[in-house]
Amino acid sequence: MIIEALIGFTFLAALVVMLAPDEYAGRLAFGLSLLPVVGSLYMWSQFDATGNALLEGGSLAFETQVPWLTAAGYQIQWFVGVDGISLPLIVLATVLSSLAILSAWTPIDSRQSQFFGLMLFMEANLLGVFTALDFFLWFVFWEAVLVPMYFLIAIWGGPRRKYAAIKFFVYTNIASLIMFIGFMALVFNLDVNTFGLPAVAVALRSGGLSGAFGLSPTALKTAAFAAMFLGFAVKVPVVPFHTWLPDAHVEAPTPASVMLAGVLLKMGTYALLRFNFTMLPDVATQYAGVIAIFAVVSVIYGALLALAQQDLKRIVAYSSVSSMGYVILGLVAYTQLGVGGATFQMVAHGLISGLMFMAVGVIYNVTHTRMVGDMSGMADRMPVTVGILVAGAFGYMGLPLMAGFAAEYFIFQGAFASSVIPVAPLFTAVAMFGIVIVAGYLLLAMQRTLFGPFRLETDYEVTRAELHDTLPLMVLLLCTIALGVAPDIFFTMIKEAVTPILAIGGGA
Amino acid sequence: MVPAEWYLILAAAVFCIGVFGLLTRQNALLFLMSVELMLNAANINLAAFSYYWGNVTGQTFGLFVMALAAAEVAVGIGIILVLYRNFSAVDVTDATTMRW
Amino acid sequence: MVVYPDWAALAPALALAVTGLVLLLIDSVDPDDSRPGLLAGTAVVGTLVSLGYAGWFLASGTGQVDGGTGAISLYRDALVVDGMALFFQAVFAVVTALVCIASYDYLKERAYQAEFYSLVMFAATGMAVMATANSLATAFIALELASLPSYALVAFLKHNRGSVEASLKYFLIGALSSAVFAFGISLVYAATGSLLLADVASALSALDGGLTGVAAIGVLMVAGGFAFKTASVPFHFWAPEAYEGAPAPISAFLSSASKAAGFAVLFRVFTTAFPLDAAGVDWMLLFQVLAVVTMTLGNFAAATQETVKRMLAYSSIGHAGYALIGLAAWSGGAPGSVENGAVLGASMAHLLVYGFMNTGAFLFVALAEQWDVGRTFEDYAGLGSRAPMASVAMTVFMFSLAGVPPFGGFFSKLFLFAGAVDAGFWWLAAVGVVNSTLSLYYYSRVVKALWVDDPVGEFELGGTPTGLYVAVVFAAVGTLLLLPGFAPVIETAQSVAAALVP
Repeated sequence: MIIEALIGFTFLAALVVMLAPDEYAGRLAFGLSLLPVVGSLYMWSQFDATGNALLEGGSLAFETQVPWLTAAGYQIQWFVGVDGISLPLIVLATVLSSLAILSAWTPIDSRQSQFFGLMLFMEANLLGVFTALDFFLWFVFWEAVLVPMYFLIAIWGGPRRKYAAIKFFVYTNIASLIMFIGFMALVFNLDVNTFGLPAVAVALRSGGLSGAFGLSPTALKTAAFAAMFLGFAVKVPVVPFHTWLPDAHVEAPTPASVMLAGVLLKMGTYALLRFNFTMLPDVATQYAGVIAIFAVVSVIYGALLALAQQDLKRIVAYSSVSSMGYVILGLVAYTQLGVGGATFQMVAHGLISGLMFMAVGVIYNVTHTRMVGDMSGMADRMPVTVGILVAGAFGYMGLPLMAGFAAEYFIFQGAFASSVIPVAPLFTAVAMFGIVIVAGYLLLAMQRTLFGPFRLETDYEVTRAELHDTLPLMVLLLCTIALGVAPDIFFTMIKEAVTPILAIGGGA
Repeated sequence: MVPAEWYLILAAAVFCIGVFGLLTRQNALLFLMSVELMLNAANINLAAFSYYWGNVTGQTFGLFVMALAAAEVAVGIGIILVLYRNFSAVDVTDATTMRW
Repeated sequence: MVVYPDWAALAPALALAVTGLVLLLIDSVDPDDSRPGLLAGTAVVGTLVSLGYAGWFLASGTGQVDGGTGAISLYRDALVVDGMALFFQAVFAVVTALVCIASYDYLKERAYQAEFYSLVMFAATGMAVMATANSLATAFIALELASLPSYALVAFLKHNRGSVEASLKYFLIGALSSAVFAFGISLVYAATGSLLLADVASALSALDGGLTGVAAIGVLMVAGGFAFKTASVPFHFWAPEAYEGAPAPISAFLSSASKAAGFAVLFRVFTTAFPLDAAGVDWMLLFQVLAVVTMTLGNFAAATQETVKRMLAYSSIGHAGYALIGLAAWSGGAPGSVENGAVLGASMAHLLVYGFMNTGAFLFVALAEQWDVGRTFEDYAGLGSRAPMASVAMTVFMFSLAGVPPFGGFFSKLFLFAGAVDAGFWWLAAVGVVNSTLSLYYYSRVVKALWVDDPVGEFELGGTPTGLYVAVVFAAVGTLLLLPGFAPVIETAQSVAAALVP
């Protein structure tokens, strides 16, 4: 029941905040958002699932399964539960939502109650996405996440917010539709009578698919895999489907960017792992080379684009594309370290990119510019913020003892040893080169904006940020370091959950 | 006895005259008359085939159609009246404040 | 146990008719419209009684096959009360109730209120009878009973050129289509010698060659008559005009209840009276073509509109196209079999959900007309911060109409398309999905205007019309509840649809 309680409470909190007066909305929302954090930590402490939620031999934690309705002979149900893959993401979603709400106190200065209400509404749906184990339930939450994000960008965003919001909405919606059709094509030709993901996954892995639409079962599988991959790739985003991301990030208000980069992108990789790589391992391994090319291109191209940017937020946005490329590479490696590392990277990148966006946001609150050339020597005036920003940047570069290092190390080791990707060492080596570029552009941008003599043309005194602005940064930094020092606090359960996926996928 | 097909042809002819009137006339009243013709074409069929099949279903329904036609004309005349008050014309092509 | 007479099964329709008469009585006692609350209250109570009866009968199994009395035939089979009739009567009652609540504010300062409500009641009675019509004669008469008051209601603002023009066009096309319908019936009668649906079906099956052509033309013309009522191609021209010009509550009434009534009788007549293999015309193909053309035309036209009401009008045509899938992908399987009900039931459930969300959307437009904010998308800019409750409701309607997941419209469309795929018409579902995606574009324009765009100038909202607010919020709650609560709706709809062909 705890999952229902969490989701229900967050929806309720969203409603309460929507109706609250603007002056108190931020504080109220932050207070209310602490309860899901506590709840998710409690879930963590009581976590007792084994194996993968979708596959045989797995057992779920906090499972509830209630029939909802029957569509065309298929059972739709309220089916939620948690395994080692979803729990870290749930903790990430609650913690990051709470901190994003805190970080929104300063920049959001109009229609606060609507803003914070939408943030909580989004959090509730995110919790649903990561816990739902029935396709329809999952899809409902998946789509419902888009609606608040659309408004967050469209109402509180930058000058080109309407364009960015529409682009985001249309891109992701069309992608969802393609994915939806792909999955439906699978289920309708499968010998199951439910939309429950575990049943579908088991049936697919045991080869219970019949051909349709003039396609053989294998061709149908491949087509469905392609459709779902395309659908999720837009969300991740994988180059060349990434063009909505920089627009959305640049225009979105900082707290929304934090959620977008920190959690919403992970929906894409989470879904890829749950659907494509868990349900159709044979197709995934067959086309591993192609997918690996997508991954590596994302890594390198994203990094190169970041290198060319002048806007701090754009730099972080493009480097997200690069980081998510690592996730794809880890997933397609089909080794325990690769897939596990990819899952770990989802959490690590969520924390670090959240940290980076927030830090850039704090600086922007004061300077009202994000252009690299417009300022320098910020370290002089905002030592704490800048210090954390630099630490976060090093986390991004994969400094040992930070979460990013652990994640990337796992991924590279996993990908290097992959027996699925052709010429795996080459791909890994090329992807590792991405880190060098990351280090290059981050150091360059840091040096130009943060250090040197202070220069910023304003008619007011640039001062330190408020405590409630820097507090979330500190918390995130601490989490990043904690995960870097002791990755096992998540990695053990992740390993446990990904191992069954590898059974058909080859590798070890 | 007149063969049944002839009634069908007669009814179809009357119906077509009605459709023709509908398509060519712009006067709302003539439009109404054309619709009446079409309804009466249906009545011809109903009466004729009531006899042909030897039951009174058709004739009874024919009476209903007449009554409804009268009701329809009553409402229609009312609408045409307010049309005239608003547009000072009973030409159906005059009322074009909205796109057609 | 008390044994009720058979005619008591008509209670949902009778309640509406009696309410209409009571309203006229009240008006003759107190003719100066000084008690708008009493009139609106009476109308609402009447519709709720009708809804209560329909719901009670549905729940207790009256007229239904499973655990019930079986279909109740009345007046020598001219009327039949079965699950489908009750289901649709519930839809009409809900929509009519919402419209009556909303009309309280809309009519406040106007004359002829009692006439307004009683005309609405009589039209609703006509619809309720349409749902029970078991003979082509009663179908025709009920259809006229629903239509004639509607013509007058559209022209209710008789000094408003738009209203009168809308009424004229609605009336002209209505008269034309009813003539076509009557002629079609006369041809079917010519071929079969009966007007009762069951007898027509058996006579068609035993038809000798000579009259097949006559019957086929008759079937086509009957389909034309229904196309008018459901605002489907080719008799859809009136819809945008009538919905745009009519008072907004009436637009809601026509586009939700009247359309559903058209579908009720369409479903019954085609599935029971015109057997697929004997009707002389492949009406499934006909409805496939009509469904595709109707939804595509409606959606594309809606996408190019500048005024919200007209956009809703075209979107209503689009939704008629979706609902037609119910017949277009009908399995025509063995009588009483479950698959007969699958897609037809989904179509009925869609009409119910549509009743909530579309009525709500038109009532929001009524609210905007009441505030005098203007008609175009741009005029709605900034309403979100001025009237947040109503705007949230409108957002729900828009997303639900588009079929976006967290709302009721998602499931109804899903079942409809899934049913079509299941019946082997995946291309029909594909066209529907593409259209739905397109529709998101124009629906989201309203949402964008409400919340995102900055208002053009300063304006004040004149007053808070309580009745309209209540109706809009109630419709929104209904739309939302139909997501978790979709299971009983679809189960009822599919089982009563399966029982349609005994």
